[in-house]
Amino acid sequence: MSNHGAPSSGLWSWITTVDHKKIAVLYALSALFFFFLGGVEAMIMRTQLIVSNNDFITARTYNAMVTMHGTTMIFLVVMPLSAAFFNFLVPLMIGARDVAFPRLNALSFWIFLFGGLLLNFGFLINEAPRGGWFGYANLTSIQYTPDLSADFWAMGLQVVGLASLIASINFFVTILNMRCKGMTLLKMPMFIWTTLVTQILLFLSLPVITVALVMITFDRHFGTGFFNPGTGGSVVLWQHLFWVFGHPEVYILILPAMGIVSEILATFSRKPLFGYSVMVYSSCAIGFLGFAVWAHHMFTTGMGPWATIFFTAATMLIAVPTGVKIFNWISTVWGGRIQFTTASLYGLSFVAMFTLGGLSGIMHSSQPIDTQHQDTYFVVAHFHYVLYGGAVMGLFGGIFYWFPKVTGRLLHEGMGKVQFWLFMIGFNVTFFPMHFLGVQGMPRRNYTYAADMGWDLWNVVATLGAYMTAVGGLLFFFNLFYSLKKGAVASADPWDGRTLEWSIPSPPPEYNFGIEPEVKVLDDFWAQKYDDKGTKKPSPAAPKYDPKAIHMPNPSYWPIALAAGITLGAAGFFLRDIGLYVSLLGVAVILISSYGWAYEEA
Amino acid sequence: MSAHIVTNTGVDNRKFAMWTLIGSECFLFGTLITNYMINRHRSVGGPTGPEIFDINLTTLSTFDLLISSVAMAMAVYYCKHKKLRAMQWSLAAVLLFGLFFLGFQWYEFHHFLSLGLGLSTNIFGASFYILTGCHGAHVAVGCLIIGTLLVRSLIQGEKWFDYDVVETCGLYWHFVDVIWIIIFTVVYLFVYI
Amino acid sequence: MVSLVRWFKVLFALPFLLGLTACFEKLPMTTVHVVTDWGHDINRVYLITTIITSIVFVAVAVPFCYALWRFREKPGDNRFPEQIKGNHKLEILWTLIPVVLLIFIFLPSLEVIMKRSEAPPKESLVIEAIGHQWWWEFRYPDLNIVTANEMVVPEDTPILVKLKSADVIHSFWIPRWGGKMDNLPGITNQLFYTTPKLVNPEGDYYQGHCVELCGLSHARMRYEAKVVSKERFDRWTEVAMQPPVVATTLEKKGSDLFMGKTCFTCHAIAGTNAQGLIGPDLTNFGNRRTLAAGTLPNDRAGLHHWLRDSVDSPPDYQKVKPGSLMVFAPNFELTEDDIKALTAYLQHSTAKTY
Repeated sequence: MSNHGAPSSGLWSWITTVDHKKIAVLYALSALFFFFLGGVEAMIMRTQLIVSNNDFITARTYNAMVTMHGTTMIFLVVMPLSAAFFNFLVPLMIGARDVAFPRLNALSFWIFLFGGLLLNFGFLINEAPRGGWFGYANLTSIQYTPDLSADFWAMGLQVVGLASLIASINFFVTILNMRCKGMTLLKMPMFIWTTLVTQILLFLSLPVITVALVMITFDRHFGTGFFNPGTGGSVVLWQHLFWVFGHPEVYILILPAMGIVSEILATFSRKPLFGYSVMVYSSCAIGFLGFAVWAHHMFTTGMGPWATIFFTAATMLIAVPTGVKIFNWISTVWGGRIQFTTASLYGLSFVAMFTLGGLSGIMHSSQPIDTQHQDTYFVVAHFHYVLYGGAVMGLFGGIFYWFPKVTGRLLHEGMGKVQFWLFMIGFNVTFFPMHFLGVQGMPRRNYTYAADMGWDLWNVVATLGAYMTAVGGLLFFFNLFYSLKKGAVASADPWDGRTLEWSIPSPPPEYNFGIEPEVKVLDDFWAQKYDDKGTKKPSPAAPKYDPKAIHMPNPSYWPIALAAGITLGAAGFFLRDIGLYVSLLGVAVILISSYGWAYEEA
Repeated sequence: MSAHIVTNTGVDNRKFAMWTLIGSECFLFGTLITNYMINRHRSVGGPTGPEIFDINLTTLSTFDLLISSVAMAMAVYYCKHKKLRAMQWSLAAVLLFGLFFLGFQWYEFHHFLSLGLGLSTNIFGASFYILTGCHGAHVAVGCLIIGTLLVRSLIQGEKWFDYDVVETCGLYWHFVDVIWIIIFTVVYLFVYI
Repeated sequence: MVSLVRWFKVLFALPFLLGLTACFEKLPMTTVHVVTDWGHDINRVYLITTIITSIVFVAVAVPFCYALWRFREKPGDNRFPEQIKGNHKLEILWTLIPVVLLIFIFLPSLEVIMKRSEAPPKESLVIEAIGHQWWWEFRYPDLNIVTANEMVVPEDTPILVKLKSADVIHSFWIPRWGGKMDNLPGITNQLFYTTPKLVNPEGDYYQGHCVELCGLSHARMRYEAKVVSKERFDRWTEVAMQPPVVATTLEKKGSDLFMGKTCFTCHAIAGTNAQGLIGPDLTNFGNRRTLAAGTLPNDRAGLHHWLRDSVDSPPDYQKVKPGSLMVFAPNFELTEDDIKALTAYLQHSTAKTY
């Protein structure tokens, strides 16, 4: 059951691809689609909140918007967009031809896509999840959420989580096992380091939420009562389980963008990342400490003084390696020759916005202060500064930076800069006033607010900022589609980069490197171009090799089949009447696909 | 495929991936075990561990799983030394002992049900069943994998001696066994503490 | 060059000036104008933290903005920057300085956490605040008082609020009194404060709000703490649970309606046949400024709106409080006269003088 002779273009080639570069594009396009969805959800919320006592949408719709906006942006935008970068860049930056397990790589993508569709399926039957992105028990119990919305949420997340788990094992093995000659760990690009730490966080934290989601599903359908206080269960147990995953998750969200920013700032300052080894150690420290701070999300649950003190201290401690990074980035641009491209604008804005988000985070790392911030717009401001001003800005910088390498064309710089400013200004106009609203006591997750609270002004301002952001978003999509067809043709190295991916054509051939690279130093490609004084070295002779002699893995349809089986199995779990048959069908597809896969020739 | 590629660490990709999966599964079982330890004394009504555990039966099933691990180690040894028939007999033994373990577990669950402990009876039962059920599911998947290995070697014979694959499956099987030792200790033996 | 500096000053100063004005506005839910011991404890830590984070912000923003201006690529610029790899001394410095600064935030926080872990004063007035979807039940166990959505307290008195939930997780928060604490089903949490001194002799009102997503009407789950003088509070405890005084025929009609139609099955009014536990206790309804947990003013128009909407809304969408159980069958009749009568009963008969 091999796939020799499969076409290299057309829809079928995309469905059966196991090429990491194509999978990266699939991830990016899917993530951008969900970004559009999540953005619409945000616009709907902001429109509802533009005036007090508004009735633009119902409370039920608003609670669904707030739930799905968070769930979508975190699990269906930032994570897959990061995965797009992992997919495209990891093999290229370490000088490999593909990842360790190409079919597993494709599997991860299809599971993610089907899981994302399952998560959103509730919209079609007016049972979209509405228990918050964190699904606190016992609001999500069958008693208080009797319809299927919480099941779409739990099962959808379960499936999407599986995609990340599988991918994390793939990238972990790839980075540690498939580096080219001479690339020791401390010669890997910074992005690879942050990717490595992210994968470790993923495969260690995902099992915890897997268990939590199984427990809530069993509570809802088999009467297990884990989160039912009446039978000895505890609602606090859900919070612990969720946040033991949930906190490492936020580092999973930010670390890839931090890696991207490190690459971008070094290139566009034309000097190396300042303090590479310290940046590596701080990334590892953030990853490690990230497991020790989860209960700062539970500061108002009455945990007792000792737990409270520990988590306050640990949360403050994690600010140290994070702060070190900010100073190192500033030192990277200091003394450089700073080029303001769209990509570098995004990278620089990351440094500024993440600093602001980090500082508001330090405020509520102190539990006494947090008792006034928790569940108010102050927290909403904080995490949007780090996730939007941070992660999303960093990822968009990455899009502008590597778009030429992926497609062979440059995104339009003029449009890009306009769109950047629309995003940047719109974002700050929306979220800076939310600090004020938080201090003025406005609770979050409220579908409306009263007229006598004095919150009207800043809500109007925030909504106007959101509309500006929306215009920026639309402009970005226009730029994307325009540049794919009419963008300026890009050379192999349009930005005078430092890492290996710029040493091969844009777009790269299927096999990436004709001859396996050999590196001697960190930023080896830059060292090959320039000596220490900046004199350009002669370009090395083009390597001679026979492209036809390079064997790449064959395409396969088993990954998409297996992904479909898994999703069917999950969905059938809670569907009424036909659920059992759907699940059994899913199991059958899983078995057939697994065996087909195992016996397929690579 | 990923077979016989030169790797930086010297460890085969598939084996490395299995070690990584094992690391992840430690957190999975760690969460389930922690949950069990928190919840075993919080039941409101219904039978609890000390009343229904049959330590003799469970000791037997634990022994059974340990023997299966010995058989697995033997299968890996014979594979390395290219002794086809011996490897096949060893794999068959692993499968047999694995299925026996599942049989023991099936009987135990049935027995507990008849004594009035179901999934929804109390929180001890719920925690117990999802922990041991998850482990049983891992054993079942392991049996499927071992069975596949056995059938493949029976059909393809000498042509198919993939030491890395057999060793990787052995890793998985040993891990499942180690987890059972921990579960056995925490669930069944801690009752006496 | 000069205009650039001016732009920067505007860019940075403006948000912070706006922030200052926003923060110091005395709004009902402000966290800045606190009036209890705990509120002041928190704000002391808050002030220290704000000062330190502001210093850090300046320490980051100034070099960063300067670098962007000074080292930007100008036209014709082709210098090759010195490829500096790092500077260990600097890195150690900017690791240690944040640690020191954080200690200055941690120690005051530690002090407050330890202070809050001490037992509340033994003489505290105990009040149970039980969260329901979507209203607040207040019980005074030592005084045998039950009321809803308005927590009457004496001034300058230590109180111990025991937090419970009847259904899902809620959270109790009066921002001007200090931080919040969750109402967890199956667990009893607690908050203790010394109530503020009286400012307005008529009584001071402090706004509270549920702050944990608890379902459809989470946004409509407000409550008020009413601070009165100690003498007035003592008078209140004597009259709070007295039965309603039915004086006029209209009020009598209202009383009959209340006990005759379905109201009594969900609501309780002390001293009457109404002993329902599903909805808020209405014994003191007449004294409350708002109804439906702070959603509408408790005047003629407000109560009319609430009753009319409850009857006219479709069963799955109560417009004032989505998800509320106060919806009726399609053929349930409540005329305008009925509403007038019920209003008279609920707003006048149940109002206590104290």
